[in-house]
Amino acid sequence: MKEVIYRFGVETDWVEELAVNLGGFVRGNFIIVPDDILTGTYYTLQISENITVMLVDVIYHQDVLYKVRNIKNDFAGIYFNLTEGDLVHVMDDISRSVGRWNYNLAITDSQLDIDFVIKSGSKSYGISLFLKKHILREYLSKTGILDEVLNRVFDQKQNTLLHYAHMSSNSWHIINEFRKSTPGSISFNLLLSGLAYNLLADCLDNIMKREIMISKVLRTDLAMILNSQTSLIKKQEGIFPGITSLAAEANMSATKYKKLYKKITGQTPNAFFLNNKLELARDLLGSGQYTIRELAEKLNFTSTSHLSEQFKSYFGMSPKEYAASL
Amino acid sequence: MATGKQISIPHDIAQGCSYFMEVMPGLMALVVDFTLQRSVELNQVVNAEDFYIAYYDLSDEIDIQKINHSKVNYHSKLGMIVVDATLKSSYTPSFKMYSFWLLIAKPLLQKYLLGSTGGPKMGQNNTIVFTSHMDSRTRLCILKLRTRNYNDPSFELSLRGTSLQVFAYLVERINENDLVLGKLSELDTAQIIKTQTYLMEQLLGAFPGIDFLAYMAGMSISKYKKLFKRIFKESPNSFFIREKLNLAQELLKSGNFNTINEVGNELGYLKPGYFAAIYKNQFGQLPGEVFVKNRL
Repeated sequence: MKEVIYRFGVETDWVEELAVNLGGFVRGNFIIVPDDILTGTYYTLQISENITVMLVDVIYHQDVLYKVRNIKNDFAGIYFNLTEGDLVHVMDDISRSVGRWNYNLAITDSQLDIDFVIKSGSKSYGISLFLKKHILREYLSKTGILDEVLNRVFDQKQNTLLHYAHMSSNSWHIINEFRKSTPGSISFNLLLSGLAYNLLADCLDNIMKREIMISKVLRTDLAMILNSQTSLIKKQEGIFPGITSLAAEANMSATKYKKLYKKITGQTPNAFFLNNKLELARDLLGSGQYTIRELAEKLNFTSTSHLSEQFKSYFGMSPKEYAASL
Repeated sequence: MATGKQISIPHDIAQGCSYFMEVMPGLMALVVDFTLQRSVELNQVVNAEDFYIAYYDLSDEIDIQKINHSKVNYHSKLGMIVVDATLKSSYTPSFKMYSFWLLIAKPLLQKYLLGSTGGPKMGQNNTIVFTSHMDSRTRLCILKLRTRNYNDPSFELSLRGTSLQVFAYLVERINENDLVLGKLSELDTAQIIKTQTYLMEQLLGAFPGIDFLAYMAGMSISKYKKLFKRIFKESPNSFFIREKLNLAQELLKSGNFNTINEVGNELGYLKPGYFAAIYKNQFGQLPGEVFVKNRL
């Protein structure tokens, strides 16, 4: 497995380092990586003194373990991730598969060192924004988040900023439109800068709507919740184990577990479990190997109509319509 | 607005209904919106010689003006105009409900122009004149911005993003169409634009003739033909026919007519076969395929 230690920052002095650690080199805005590790586009652009954006659109040909070791504390990262394939979180040397985690938006503090493995064969498409904390704070204060709350969130001694979420459909559309452009073309840097601002605008809108909650989290708590999610993923085809059992597994009271779970993931465990089930249902439906009735049975839905109902409310179309549209 | 070589962002008209922002050095965005409540102070004065103006108008591209209940006139216009700021007064943009503007410093745009060698084309004296129907990408972008609330904390970011996107699309179009014209006389360019605007207002009639247009522009016929073609990449006649057929398409879809013949007649095409043939030549389909019949 290729191990890549790297750091980020708004200032782009880290780009060269990342290139070298990937066994490659920097050419203009591109990072050129040897073909046996990955193929595709690795591109960085500093947009202003406060914002830098990185585009990674690659296919991995080896397992790559990324180890983030930031040395600067002055920025936060916002990651939009459309990776298809298994992503494995590594924390305190324990790997946790978050393959079906389905979060594709992460906001993290530069202080938090999260390691992860990307499996060979994964198709990765990600937009990373690095922005100075003071500017993020400025944006957030405009949304009406109280100063007192912001003080706590940005208090480096206490905790770190971390949030995982689903990207909004609007962000997804913005990125999808952007994907039509050609890296290196004359208008590319303009489009990439435009993309960064549009995505930031959308993030801010969602924070306004409280669909993204900016909050802090303890490292140990994060590990617990990661564990808990991993176990939920393993039981994905079965019946929801219940809060009591999950809380016991995580060595917490049910109240604390529920609160923490929601704080970190923005969802209840039950919703996470159901949504993952539905995503799985969609994938299996896409494989064409199951009828809807068989799926309902396989995934432990109480009835076919229950599956259809949930599927429709989550995806906006019934499984039947989805299957027909394939 | 144009005071000598200085232009101030339209303060008088835009008072209380526009939003102005510097997107990045050399690029400024202006939104003129009559629904905007909050006033943004506009006292930016820039030297017109240093800027291009890109103007995007979202209102309907074809105005249908009713005169005396019976007679109808169509005033067609192009939703997207890019000119040297010094030439801006050649166009009289309608301050309709909503328009979007970019002010682009010449050195900035030059940086994004590819020469024939593929390298950036240098020199700041090149005239750019570009008028067109707005491409759908740009239109969608601006429409999306339009749905935003100016008081949202994210508005500034969104305007910044949109402006960069619109600028990028513009850069692509200018490079595709090779619109850098070298140095053109301001007066000549303004005169040519005047005749183009005139043509857009005369779409119901027959082509006024090169003689007339050249006379209108105050040039010899050969100079007029040459200049028109250099700026708009086609002859006055083919520009006129293309626009006429664009109007035809709008009218066919409008549902205001009982027969296709009526539309043809409205535009002065008296032979149905000929109308159908040139329409098909431009759009690849026959008028009958898009025609919406009057339901009344």
